[in-house]
Amino acid sequence: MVCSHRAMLRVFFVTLVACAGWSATPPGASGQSVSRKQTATPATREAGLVAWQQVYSVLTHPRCINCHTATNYPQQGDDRHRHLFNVVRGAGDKGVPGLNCATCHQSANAESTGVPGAHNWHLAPLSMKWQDLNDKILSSADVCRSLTNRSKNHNLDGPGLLKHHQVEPLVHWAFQPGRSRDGAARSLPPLTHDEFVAATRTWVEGGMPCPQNP
Amino acid sequence: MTAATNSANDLLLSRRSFLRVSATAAGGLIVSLYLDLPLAAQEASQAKPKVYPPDAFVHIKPDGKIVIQVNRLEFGQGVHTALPMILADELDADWSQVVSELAPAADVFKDPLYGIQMVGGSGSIAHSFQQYRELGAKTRAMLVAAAAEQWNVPSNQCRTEASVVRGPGGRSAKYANLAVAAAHMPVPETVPLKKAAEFRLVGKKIRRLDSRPKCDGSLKFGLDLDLPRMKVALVAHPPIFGASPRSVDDTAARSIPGVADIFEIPTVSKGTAVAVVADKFWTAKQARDRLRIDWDLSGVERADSSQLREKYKALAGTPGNVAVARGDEKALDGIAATNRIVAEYEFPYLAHSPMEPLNTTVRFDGNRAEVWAGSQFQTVDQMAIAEVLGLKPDQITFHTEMAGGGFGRRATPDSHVQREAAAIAKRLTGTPVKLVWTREDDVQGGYYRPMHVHRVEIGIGADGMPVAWHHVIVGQSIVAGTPFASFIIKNGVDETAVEGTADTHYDIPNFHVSAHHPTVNVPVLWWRSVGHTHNAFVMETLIDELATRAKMDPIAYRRKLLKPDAKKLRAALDLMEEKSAVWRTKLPKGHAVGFSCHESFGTGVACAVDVSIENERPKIHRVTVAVDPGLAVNPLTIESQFQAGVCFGISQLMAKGAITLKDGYVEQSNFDAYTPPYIIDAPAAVDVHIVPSTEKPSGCGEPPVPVISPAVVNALSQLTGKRYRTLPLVTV
Amino acid sequence: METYKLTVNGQPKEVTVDPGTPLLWVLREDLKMTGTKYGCGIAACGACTVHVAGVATRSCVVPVSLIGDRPIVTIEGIGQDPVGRAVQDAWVSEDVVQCGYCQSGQIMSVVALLKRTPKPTDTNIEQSMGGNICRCGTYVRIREAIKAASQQLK
Repeated sequence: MVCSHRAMLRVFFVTLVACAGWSATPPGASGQSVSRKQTATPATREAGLVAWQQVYSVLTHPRCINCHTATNYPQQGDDRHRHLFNVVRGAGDKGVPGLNCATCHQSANAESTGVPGAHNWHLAPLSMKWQDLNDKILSSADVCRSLTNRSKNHNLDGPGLLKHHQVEPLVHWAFQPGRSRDGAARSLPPLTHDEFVAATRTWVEGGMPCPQNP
Repeated sequence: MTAATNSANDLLLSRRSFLRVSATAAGGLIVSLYLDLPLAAQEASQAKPKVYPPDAFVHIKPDGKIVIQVNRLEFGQGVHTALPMILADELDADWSQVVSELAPAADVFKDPLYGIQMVGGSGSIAHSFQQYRELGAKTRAMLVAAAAEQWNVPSNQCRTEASVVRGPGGRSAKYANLAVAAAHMPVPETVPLKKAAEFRLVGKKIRRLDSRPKCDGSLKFGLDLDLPRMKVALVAHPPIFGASPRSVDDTAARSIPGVADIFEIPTVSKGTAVAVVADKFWTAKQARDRLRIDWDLSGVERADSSQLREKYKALAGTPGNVAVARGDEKALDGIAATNRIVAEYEFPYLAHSPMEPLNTTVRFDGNRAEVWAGSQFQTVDQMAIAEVLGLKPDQITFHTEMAGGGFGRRATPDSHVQREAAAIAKRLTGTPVKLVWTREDDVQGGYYRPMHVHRVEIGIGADGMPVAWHHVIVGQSIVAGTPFASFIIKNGVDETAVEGTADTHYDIPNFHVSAHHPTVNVPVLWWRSVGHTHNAFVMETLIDELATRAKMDPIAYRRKLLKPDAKKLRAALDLMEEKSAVWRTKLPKGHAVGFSCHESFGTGVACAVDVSIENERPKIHRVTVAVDPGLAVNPLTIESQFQAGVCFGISQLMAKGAITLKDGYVEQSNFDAYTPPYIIDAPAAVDVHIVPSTEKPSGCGEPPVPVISPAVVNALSQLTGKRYRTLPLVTV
Repeated sequence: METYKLTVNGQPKEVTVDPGTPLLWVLREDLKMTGTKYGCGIAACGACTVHVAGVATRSCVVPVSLIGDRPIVTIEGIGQDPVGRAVQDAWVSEDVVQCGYCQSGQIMSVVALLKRTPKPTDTNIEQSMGGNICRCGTYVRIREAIKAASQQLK
């Protein structure tokens, strides 16, 4: 995974350099750790900030944020209530023996019973929490900082994040979340998957800028 | 575990021949089981047999197995083991050879006191202790007589142990080898019973007989039944009780492969439901989900919990039908407001939700029928099915299946589930039909513990003890409109609504209790411990409040207020005080102890609980419970019943432990919104202590339930300073 | 209708059913194995718990079409496993059951716990068993029996 990141980044860098006329700009004012030199212009940076808000709107939609909790439990539903039946996070973010995520959630949506599913269904680790301990969603600035903090995000850089948004099955799931028990389609994030990837790309190309805290 | 047919070598003639059945003009069922009495003589007696013939209850097989019929449903309470224990003890049977079976519906298996075959009111041991002792003793006497005759010795020179008769001179004979001869001995009218010191099983901790098959998947519950050519039926019930469809579009439903038929059936609440019959459960469920039913909801009363609450509160402010009028009704008037407690309590509807959803299997053959059901009311159900099928009850073979819980839900005076099943089976003559209620059907299907409001006004004397007590209880009558009404409703008061208050063992002067029973379009039923579920909560929290006001120790307060002759409660209180001393005097910070004591169904119970608040919920660290159940037939069963019964009892405290209706619709549909206790809600430890007693045994099925909720909130009150008068406990 | 080849308790089985049929009903009605119970149908109670590729699985919400070739073990087969046998024995010796309807699921959940955590703490027990309902309330004895089984397996 790391190798391909490096390879991708080299390609990215080469591409940018080849597009002469773009000057390097310093990292975002929030001071996140970006260990690769980004060649983003003020214009792309501003586009990146706008794109970030779109990305944030998806990340904080229930289909994504329900598994990015700060607590010992996932959430479920559009009202993001605590996941029923006393399921807990467990040491590996996959539940506990006897009550794993996989106890109910399989590798695909179970249309006939209304249980969502995707490959390797599990909670995002606590380092990737986008809520506080009171289940309150963190601000755009805080989520952005969290997302770009390589000590917290499985060491993903911009291209890594983009790839994650492109290929990760659990991300894909959010855009095809299936139907509930009563047959109602689960609500979708505000963008399609393609739009989400495009917004991510714009944000990454803009140097992954983060908004200021208000 | 259901009654099986016996081979010809058994003690008795085959079941068909010894169960010679005759019908009386009134349609009652009489089973003649005497081998040596003419049929005509038995036909003459229409009432329940006062003498219970051993051969209906005990079969001694040639291989030594002793099959004992249990005249009750086993649904967790342990009668499957306890009743055979009683019989086997008097019989001096080898316990390891005892096989327990649930008896089918038959006259001889009716409850000796109530005259119907039933389990309820925690009465199984209480009512059948003497009966099963006599059955065992009589069988033993006949075996001894057979041996004595063979050996030509007096009976009193023979003794018995472990399925062997031993005679003088070292003679011995196994019961298995004496069985045929014994069957021809006369059944003694009376027999001496063992002295308590002679018991070998009764009073001992005997493990359950049904454990292993319940742990390896082999035991079949009613829902597990599989018969050749059997169909499965689901019923689409009206969403509001009593409604009927205006139109049913079953096109999509019928298009599912495996659907056999779809048709309307009547419901007992005068509405109509739609039955779906299919080859399998999943097919039936898919089909039912695809029914497009336009329900005609005009003309059915739309019960609404909020509206009912307001109505009940208003009613509670007015005197109702008098249950108790003791002393001076005006005594309260002279008490200043500062010396009064005025308290209003609210209780929601509760669903029983046994783990095994309701189900019944019926096969109708035109002039006979066969039924399999885990029923608490076998003979009542049998009669209802007979009515639907146009048969006499004795034309129906009714097998009692092991049931996955009941808590009262399987004892329905109107036999509504059985009637549904019979109506469906009637349409499919010759085909067995298994009617299944889904969990949604169960949660939404009514027959709840009724909603209640209590209004209590207490006048307090200078010594902190009550000097006057006015208590109004509002709630639907469970038995109104049923055959039970005539002996349970007195002076317009349904005794099951006021039990626990009206029959209190506290010596309360100027005590007035009255009740209102509104009619509401929600079917209601007895929920494990019935009236005690709410009455004990009210009484025991008020007593606690009084004790706190009087600055008296809650145990001492109760001792002072209890009637002197409240023997069982006093004994339980003493034992609880003793056994809980070790921990309640050294509570960690943030913990409090709560107490309660309550007598129900003849059994006195007292408990102390150690509670703290964690994550805004009560965390029960420990329960010490003491019980006086009279003679403890199986102390292991009793320990189990109390440890588990308190875990059932805390259902009333669960944040989502209420059934509510809005504009006629039940708002909850499954365990997600109506949530029983899980292991994290249960006490971490429960120690049970039994008061030694030689009194006749009372019951233990229901008595654990009333004490736990008030004890827990009494502890919470210590921690928060609040009094809790509305259940469930949504916030702490 | 689709045909599925399943391995149940080590035995090959073949069923032809609607793909959306939950494994629970395939076991109970197509394979006539009724030890696995229906309690709620929404994975709230655990009565339907089986093991799929060694993972405790709530068969009432898993369509048979999502099982694939993962082996299934049910309550009828768990006694062949030493941990399963120890749990069943502890359940009997500690007199856990009352009505017994939930106990297939309880036992299957406990076995999953003990296989991963042979010496569970009280917290382990509460977390792993936290999703199983016993309406009779046998939780106190369930805890004791888990500890007894764990002792046996030392």
